[in-house]
Amino acid sequence: MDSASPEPQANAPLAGSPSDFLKNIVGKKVKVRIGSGVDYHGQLTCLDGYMNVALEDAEEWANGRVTARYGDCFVRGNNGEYVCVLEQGLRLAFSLSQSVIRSRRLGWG
Amino acid sequence: MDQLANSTLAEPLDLVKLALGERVFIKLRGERTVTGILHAYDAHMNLVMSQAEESIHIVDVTDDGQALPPRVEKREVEMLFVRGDGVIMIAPAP
Repeated sequence: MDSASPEPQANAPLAGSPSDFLKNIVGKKVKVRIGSGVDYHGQLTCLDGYMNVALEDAEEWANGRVTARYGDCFVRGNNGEYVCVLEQGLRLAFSLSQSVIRSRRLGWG
Repeated sequence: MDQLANSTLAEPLDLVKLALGERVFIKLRGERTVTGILHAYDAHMNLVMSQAEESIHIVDVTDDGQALPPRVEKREVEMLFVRGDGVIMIAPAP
């Protein structure tokens, strides 16, 4: 699997699809926020098309504190709100598509 | 993949596969957690567990809206089926 980080050109807009982004952040330290506002920080081991996520050396954050640590942890995709890269000062965040968030507001999610 | 341990992990579900037969800790919707031995799972994250202990984390509220300290209600179930849509997180039990 290619784990090279995306190298944005100085003034060029970021290209590539959301799934390209997700492929490129495998192996990096990420923050996964789930709907209830709890965050999971950890090294992204892998993810799949449902946005199920496997994290290594994961920390569970709630109310600004670490509430638990897990060596490995699986997060079911439907609970995810966004995945955010913490490494290397990258300030990229990938939100689940607006339609998913809208559908949650409508009570479908 | 830079780590050997990760080479068996092609997809997140493999992490659950590795936990088969082991004691796992599960977070569910509705402030519930379960620990138990994982016997089976599927793509929906439906789970079959044995020797399961469910903990329900409850915050009671008084009549005037004051939250009381959280309390935990526990129950043990010999064999448990968990419907996948309630699953938030699965980790090997510490």
